[in-house]
Amino acid sequence: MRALVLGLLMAIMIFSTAVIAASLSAGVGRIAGGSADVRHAKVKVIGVRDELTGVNLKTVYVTLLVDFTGTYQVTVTASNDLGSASGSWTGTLTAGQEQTIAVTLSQALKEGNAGFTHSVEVALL
Amino acid sequence: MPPGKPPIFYIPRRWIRMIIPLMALALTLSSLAAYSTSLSLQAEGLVLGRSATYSYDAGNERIRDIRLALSGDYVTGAQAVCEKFVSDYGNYTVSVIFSNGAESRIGQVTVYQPKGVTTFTVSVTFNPPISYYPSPSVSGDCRKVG
Repeated sequence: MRALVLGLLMAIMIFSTAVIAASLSAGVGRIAGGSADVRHAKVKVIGVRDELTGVNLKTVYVTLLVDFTGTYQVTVTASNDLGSASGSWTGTLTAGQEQTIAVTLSQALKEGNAGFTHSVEVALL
Repeated sequence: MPPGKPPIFYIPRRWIRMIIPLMALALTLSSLAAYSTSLSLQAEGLVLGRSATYSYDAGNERIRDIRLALSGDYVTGAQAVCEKFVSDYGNYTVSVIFSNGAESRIGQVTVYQPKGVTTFTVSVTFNPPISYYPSPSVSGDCRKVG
């Protein structure tokens, strides 16, 4: 009976240690770029241009530079004292090339007394 | 304790019933915690520079476009487009402030613009250059100064 209990305890400890070691090494490998199947990217939003129609902001042009070719989703949220509006773009960005994309806002944002603030979020899909 | 059992190895049977599930639970939870930590670290490290903020000023003269000048991961300056009334003329000061969350730089230039011009472009320099990462934000201001 004692041998069975000790055996069980040993088995559980070995299994758990293996799981912890595997998960930690996987995490470190991903962060360090040691795993070939994990993608890393450095994104730079290097320009934002407003295109107004009269007093309405409907399209925002965003210039991006990435170091990893892949499919990205770019979300722009423009806001001012009158409200906010968002729009998204999904497509391929090529590493090392400055690319300007047009993001159409879901609704036109009227120009108010304050200027526009743009929040640009980039996700690698 | 039953006779003949070595005291150092003796574990009461009722303790075993409690210890085994508790150990299994503790080890399972610690494994899950380690794995979730590695997953969250992976998500943070996947894309550097995922978000940026650009803020443009209000007033009669307004910034419509800012484009950063880069050298590797460093921002060396910026180009800004200012929009003004076609009938106005005079000296205009354009300022661009870049911040990476840890430090910031300001670039400023004053230029004369005549009547008939609605938009003009200026370039400013950040000296010394500033790292783009980790939390880039840019603000621009254009105003008539005389």
